[in-house]
Amino acid sequence: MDLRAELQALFQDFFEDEDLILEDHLTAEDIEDWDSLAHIGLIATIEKKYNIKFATAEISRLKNVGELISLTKKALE
Amino acid sequence: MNELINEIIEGRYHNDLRHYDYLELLSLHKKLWKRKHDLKGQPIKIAIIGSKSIQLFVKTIEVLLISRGYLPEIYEGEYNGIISEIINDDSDLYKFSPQYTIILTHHTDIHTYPPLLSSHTELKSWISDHTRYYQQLHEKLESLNCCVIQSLFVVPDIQVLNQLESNVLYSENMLLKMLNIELVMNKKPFVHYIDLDTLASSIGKRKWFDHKGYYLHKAPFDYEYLPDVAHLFVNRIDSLEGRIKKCIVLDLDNTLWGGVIGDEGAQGININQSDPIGEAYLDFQKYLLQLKDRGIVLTICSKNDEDNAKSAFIENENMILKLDDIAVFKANWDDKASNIQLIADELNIGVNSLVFVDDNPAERQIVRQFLPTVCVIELDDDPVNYKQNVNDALCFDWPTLTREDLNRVDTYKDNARRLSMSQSFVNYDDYLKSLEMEASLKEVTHDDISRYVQLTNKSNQFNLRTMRLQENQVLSMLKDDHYKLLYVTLKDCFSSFGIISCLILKKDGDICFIENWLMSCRVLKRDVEVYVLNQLVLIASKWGCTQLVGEYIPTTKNKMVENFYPSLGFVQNGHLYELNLDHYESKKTYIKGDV
Repeated sequence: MDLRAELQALFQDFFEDEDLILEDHLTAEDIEDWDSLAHIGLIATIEKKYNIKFATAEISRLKNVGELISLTKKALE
Repeated sequence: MNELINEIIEGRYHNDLRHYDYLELLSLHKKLWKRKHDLKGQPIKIAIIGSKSIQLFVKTIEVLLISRGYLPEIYEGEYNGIISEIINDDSDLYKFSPQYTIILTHHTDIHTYPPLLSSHTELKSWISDHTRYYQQLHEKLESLNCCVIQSLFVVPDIQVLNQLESNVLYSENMLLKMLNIELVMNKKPFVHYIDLDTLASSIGKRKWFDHKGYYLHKAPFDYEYLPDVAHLFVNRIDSLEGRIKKCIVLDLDNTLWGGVIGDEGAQGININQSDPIGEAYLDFQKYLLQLKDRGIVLTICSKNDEDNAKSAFIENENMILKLDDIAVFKANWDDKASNIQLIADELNIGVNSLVFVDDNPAERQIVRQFLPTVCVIELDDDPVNYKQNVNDALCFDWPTLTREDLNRVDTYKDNARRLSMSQSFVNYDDYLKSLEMEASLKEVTHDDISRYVQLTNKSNQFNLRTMRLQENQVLSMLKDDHYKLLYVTLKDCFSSFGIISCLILKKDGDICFIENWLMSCRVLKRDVEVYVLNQLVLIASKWGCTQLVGEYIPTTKNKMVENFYPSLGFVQNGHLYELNLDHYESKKTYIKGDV
């Protein structure tokens, strides 16, 4: 499974929405449950799953799902 | 996770969610919230305020409370809300009127420190100013009749002065440490501190402080430790609600000593000071003895021949624990669940106040299955860790410690002697006479409050209305002429029991209503209640009343007193029971008492 598909499964599980499709332009605005609190849990879940740590600057500048995917990819390299 | 959710909702979950990390707990919270309307349990109102981000802390507390059978209603303070919400009488906090207020402090709440090289006088005034500030907050909360559960400051591991930081009193680290101590020294009874500094130290402060989380979203500490922190607060709520463990049930072979006594004999078991494992077993025994000294009843439940099992205690001089330290000794070949039930019965305490310690995972599993309310401790495979395992289970987190607690262990032992004496009498009255009981009934004073509150909150069986009290409520009733708060002490030829019964009387015209009547089950079947009634009639008459009125409010635990009032001659009237004072004739007891 590629990273996008894995993250999509993670998002679906986290937001309990099996129909969620992970597209690059997606932001917190587009997903109802994605508030600032859920954001903390979401980032921590990704960090835990891949055993990675994002830098503070990276997280605070995140704009959309596309950036989150490339950030995860970069951390895994 | 779905099975777990069902267990929790149906009230079948008795474990403590210890193995779940914070993300799992938050996900559990979300799922439970979707079934919010199915949740039932003991309603409880809690306000949580703090200066940093507390939302995830609130959710963790909430999910733990639900798993422990509470139905929490939580007031979540505003960000940075400590001062504004407590100081302002019109704030929503006051309208909410919580039973408990949790205050989560953070070292950044302290904005100014005295300059370096400040004199002792300057330091003292800084410490007392800050202590006074929190005392004022507590006093405001006292008017709400709520308990305050506040964290002590976690002292940061940033040391501007390096090691000098701990060698001078004017350093920020030392000042925070001194403030923590000063807070405890000036603590009011309704205030309970949670020592997060010790927790953070056991975790390691480099892990505890999460700088990224702090700067990104004002996380007060690394969320990884949310469960540990929340457990400490919820444990305290549990103990203030009277859910307290009183007794520890111990296995013998490979739990108290290395090896099997039946095979190796009293001298063959490993409790040798010169052996690493033997020394660990001895240290574990020392720790258990310390538990006994703080009022935890020690009992034995072992699959062994009784004489064999006892021979270790009698013949091996290395043993720290002696037979005399053990209140009930069950060594036989029956299953442990039945034996544990017998231990509870003999001590007259609920199975839910027992803690079970056994190195054998199969035995632990059986006890968990058949007696789910017993707290079963997960022991490590390596005996050197037993002491830590029992300690970390945090079973005995009592909110107070009283003189009676320390003497209780002896009382249980004396009970065994009483039992053997009672068997030597054919006639029960002769037995009661031989006990040479003396009782007294007195009005509560300030000195007795903590024991009074403790007994009130932990008595479940002999408790007519199961009214729970906090110290500040007692204080306000003491000031109110309509109330009389009474307690009974008892001693006999074997021992002094201290306070064993608590009552609250409320005068309403010529009616004296018994708002609360409870008694420790250690003194059942001695006619103490008859003695108390005789006294009550005198007190109520002197108070200008013509009638005593009582009420029985059933709970799952107090069936024992279902017919209590009728048995004392009260006449049922609806849900109340009435006794006219003018025709009352004192009943005979074998208790000597002052009027």
